[in-house]
Amino acid sequence: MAQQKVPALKGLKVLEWGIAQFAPAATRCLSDFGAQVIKIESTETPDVLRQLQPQVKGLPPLDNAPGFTHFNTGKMSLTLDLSQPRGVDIFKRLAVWADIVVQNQRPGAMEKLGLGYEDLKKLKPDIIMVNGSVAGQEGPGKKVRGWGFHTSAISGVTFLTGYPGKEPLFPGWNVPADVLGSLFLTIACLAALRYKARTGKGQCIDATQLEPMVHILGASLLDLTANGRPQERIGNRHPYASPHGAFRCKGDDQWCTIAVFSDEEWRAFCEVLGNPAWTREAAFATLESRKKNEDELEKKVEEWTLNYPPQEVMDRLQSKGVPAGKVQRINEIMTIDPQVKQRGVYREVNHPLIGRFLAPAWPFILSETPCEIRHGPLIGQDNNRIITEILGMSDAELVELVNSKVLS
Amino acid sequence: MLSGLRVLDLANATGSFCGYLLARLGADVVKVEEPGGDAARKFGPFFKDSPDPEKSLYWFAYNVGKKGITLKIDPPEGRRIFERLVKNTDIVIETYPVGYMDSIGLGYQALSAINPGIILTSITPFGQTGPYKHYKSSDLVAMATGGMMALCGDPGKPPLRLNPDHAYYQAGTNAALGTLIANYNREMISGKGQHVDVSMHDSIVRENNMWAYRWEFLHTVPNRAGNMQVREDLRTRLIYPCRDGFVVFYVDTGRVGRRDLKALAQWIHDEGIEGVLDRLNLDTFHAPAASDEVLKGITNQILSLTGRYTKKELEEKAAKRGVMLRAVKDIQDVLNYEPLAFRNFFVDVEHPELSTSIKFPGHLFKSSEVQDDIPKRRAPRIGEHNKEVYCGELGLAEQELARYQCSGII
Repeated sequence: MAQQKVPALKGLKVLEWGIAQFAPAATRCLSDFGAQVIKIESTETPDVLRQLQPQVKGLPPLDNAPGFTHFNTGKMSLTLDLSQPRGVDIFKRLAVWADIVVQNQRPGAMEKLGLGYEDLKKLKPDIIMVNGSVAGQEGPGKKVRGWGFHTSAISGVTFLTGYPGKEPLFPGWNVPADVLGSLFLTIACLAALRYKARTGKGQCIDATQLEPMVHILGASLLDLTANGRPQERIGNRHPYASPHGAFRCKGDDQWCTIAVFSDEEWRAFCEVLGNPAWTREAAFATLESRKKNEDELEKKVEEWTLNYPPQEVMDRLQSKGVPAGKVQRINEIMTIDPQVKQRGVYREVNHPLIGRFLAPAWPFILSETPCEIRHGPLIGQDNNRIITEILGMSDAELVELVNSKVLS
Repeated sequence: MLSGLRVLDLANATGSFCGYLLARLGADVVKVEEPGGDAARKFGPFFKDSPDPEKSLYWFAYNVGKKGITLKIDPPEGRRIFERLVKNTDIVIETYPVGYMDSIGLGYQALSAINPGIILTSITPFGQTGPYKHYKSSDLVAMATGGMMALCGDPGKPPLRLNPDHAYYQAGTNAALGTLIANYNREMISGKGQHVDVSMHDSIVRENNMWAYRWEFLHTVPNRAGNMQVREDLRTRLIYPCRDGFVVFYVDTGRVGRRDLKALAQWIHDEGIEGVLDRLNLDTFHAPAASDEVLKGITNQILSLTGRYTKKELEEKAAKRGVMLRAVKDIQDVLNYEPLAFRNFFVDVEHPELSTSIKFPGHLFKSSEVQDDIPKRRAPRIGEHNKEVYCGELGLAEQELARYQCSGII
């Protein structure tokens, strides 16, 4: 019965010159599902992820950050000095080798080096090039720089996050825009590959981090474009559910969310609470009345949740079919979350210098072609192999490239 | 780019973003609704605030670009019709409770027996396996269990979710990506489909992966911190009020962060706002090592600056000086934002029945080859394409269709 599983993307060849998360996390996905990914790097101006905190003491400075692996699993690394013409030449040869080139350097940087889409297209007419930026390769977006946190701000998503009537709030750091942008970038790669398989044509893709975030404004955007109504922050509440919020539980700063949408869920909720008299009052009998008296309702609910730790609130409610979930912190997710454990959301990798640690897999499990999570490359670890095996250059040429610091 | 791919989209509101993305890329996505219409049609906001299943903007938002048919898939007659549809389908997307599709004879094995190329993409609260697989969820619940809410909100107040339905979009995007990887494998390598098991919970856990290695190596557990950084080593403010709203800026570490702070300090100096920034050596400044007093001083100087101007003024001045300060744009600002207008990002979708057109987000990205891939098709009316699909494609006679409609199957 045991069958050797062939990776989903076996044979796919990818060249990446990325910074931080956007392009690296996108090609990382391709790598985990079996593509061969060459990452172009530089020891002079290394990717910021090589300098991520934390860094493990006593290891070489560019190979001591476990966080680098999280965005670069299974890739090959080639260090190249692109300020030298022969460095640019090697990049071009690899672009010809690759099925797809993915990059998120500052808009215009590739063209300046003679590595823009038009340049590469001359060498390989059916090349696929996927360019990532915050707000576009051309026009007024070209100059918009920023981390994911800035992108969330200009997308409207930050504006919609916060308690009602209060200032916008956002989880500090860069997470949502970076993650969503990278997922869209990988989707772009796969869509372009399919187009080429069907038509024989390559293409240039100009993808942003901004547009995916605007796509997730949903009805909040349409309420303005169709009704002229600007939506505001609504916190944890929901116009069609009540109770719908995070409730304080037993313990230090412990919380559980509860989301009651249907009448059936409301009845089950009341049953779990032991059908106390207040649940039968007219003020709480229907969704409409609960919405009207929501402040009071939330107080009543919290009087109950305060008696139990959040896991117990969650399990009691879920056992009767009421959506509920505890507010988990990262330590709980990594140690006691049974889903994360059983589904392999985090997998152990064995890094040659750092040793064993956890790196994330994907939130989608493919039944026939599972992903494989490997450690991120040491900087320049594949220089020799790429030059001689993939590009077929001689050992003498390799030595010369090393001596003249083209392989930087 | 995905033209020629047929998708049957059985997903409810938690998963409709997946089919939306595939439709945006040119796939032929057919929404399969319960007779009477999908539950998402009951959610507002409604066009002109008139509650009507054909006027739900909530429904329009992520069913734009799809066709629509109605079918009850659980009775045997409905199941047989569904099986016939599956023969010419590449991808089925569903959000039923774990085990339901199997229980009505339409699980992956059954579909695969009809069409070995079929890709079944299941989007569920906690995935198809694990002790929570039968637990129910919603956006709020997934944001909580996935770890995002612990990072957002004021200390002492309830943890906050992000923009409404954030978890549905994360899961839907992951689902579209997993589906396209499976499709690549099918079209380029194996010729076979597979089951794609997407978990909403895992999607939010995955969204938070930046905190995992910090926890593992530094043993730090970040908590919500209002408008401050949640990273314990960066105790600086992120969101600053200005004259007509808010802007974001952060004091970062490393060479980019230092360059940024120096440019801001020069600006603050030019504005004549005095304070701690005048006395610091910004070439060596390292925020994590700074005292609370210094950081508070910097924050106050930035607040003095932002309080003087509107968000637009601040953004323009910052851009000239190379400072990474950005406005917290409201929805109207986003609609007017020049980079999006330059890219023709927003498209008008005609709604003849409402005698209007509505502006929607358009492309997922720009392509040099495929310009006309963005379907301008408005979200389907209930059963709008029944005749086209059932009579035109499956070859049902019109009387047969009428009979199924009478019996409530279609």
